[in-house]
Amino acid sequence: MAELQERLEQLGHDARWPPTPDLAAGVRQAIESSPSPPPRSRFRRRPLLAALLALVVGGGVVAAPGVGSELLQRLGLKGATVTQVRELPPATLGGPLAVGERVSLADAERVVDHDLVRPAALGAPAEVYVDGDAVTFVYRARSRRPILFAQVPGSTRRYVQKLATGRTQRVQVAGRPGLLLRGRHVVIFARPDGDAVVAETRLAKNTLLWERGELLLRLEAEQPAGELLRIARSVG
Amino acid sequence: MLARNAADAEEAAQDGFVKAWRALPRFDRSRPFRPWLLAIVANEARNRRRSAGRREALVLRAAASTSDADRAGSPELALLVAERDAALAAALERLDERDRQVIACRYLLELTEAQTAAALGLRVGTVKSRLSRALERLRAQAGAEVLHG
Repeated sequence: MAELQERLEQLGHDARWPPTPDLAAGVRQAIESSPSPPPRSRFRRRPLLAALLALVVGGGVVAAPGVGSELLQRLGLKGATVTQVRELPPATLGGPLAVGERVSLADAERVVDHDLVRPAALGAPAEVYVDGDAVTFVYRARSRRPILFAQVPGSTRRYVQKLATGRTQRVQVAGRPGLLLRGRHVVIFARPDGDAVVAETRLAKNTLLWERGELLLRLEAEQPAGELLRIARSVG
Repeated sequence: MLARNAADAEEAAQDGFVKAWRALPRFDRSRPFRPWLLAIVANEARNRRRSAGRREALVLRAAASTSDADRAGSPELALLVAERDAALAAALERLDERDRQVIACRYLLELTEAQTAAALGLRVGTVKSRLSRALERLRAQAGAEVLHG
């Protein structure tokens, strides 16, 4: 194998790479023409983020037993924290998903940097969305609200925070620790590039968070908790 | 390598630098700067390519140049070396995108495993395991003739 690696390095030396462009002028012009962060259409939820942070910082936090980032860290869910709050800001159940760009399943498998997993119990997803390295499958049923199944590389690059008013319970999913959030909650994401904080709200009745390998998995639905656990155990 | 064409790569690099500039106040000074910047620019390149939906082929032109002659010692051998490089580049091109990216970052660009992880948004452990599998697949694609000439 060492010979192959050596050949590859030599190939890199010999390859005719495009000339390195002079980026300084363009970067300088871009910074000078828009010194402050540009308006971001998808950041219109920023006031909501401010409200959420104010809610947390301003004394709205209730330290619920058994819930919190420290506990999540101990459980190994390093990509997420859950904060209990007295009340949630207004949001609409089943509002805009805001989970990125809609793509085909094949394209999602092609563009993300991790192997996609799917809950066999739900079959093929009706819709697939990609946002950075996060993939969300949407399953639609006639009689219920959509089921969301999201998978995110569970590193600390992407920070997921949930503000919850309901009860949070420790669970096991295929031998891995997870958290089951019952009742309404709000989700906050931070983009991995550190460009800006994006706050998304998505209210769901029940949510299951658990780790599988390097992925943080999230299942949101209005189904009962037992049904969520059954679906989660079918992920393969 | 991530954007798959020079024009998009240039735009991604420029936009990435601008984003990094704006994100500087949030940069953790206790952490190394290069992986942070690399991750921002690489993410920009991936997003740009994803939104454009492009599937352009990466063409690695193995240079039949003076370096081949230097390596081979004669014009005839240089030609053989160039042909082997072209075959290896073609085998690399036939790999799955994830395999190709991790090999390209690690060996063609000679990034460290940590830098490769930052560029591709992976953990170092994932880079190691993916690299091992990707090299096996490349070896199978390239065949003994290319590898041993």
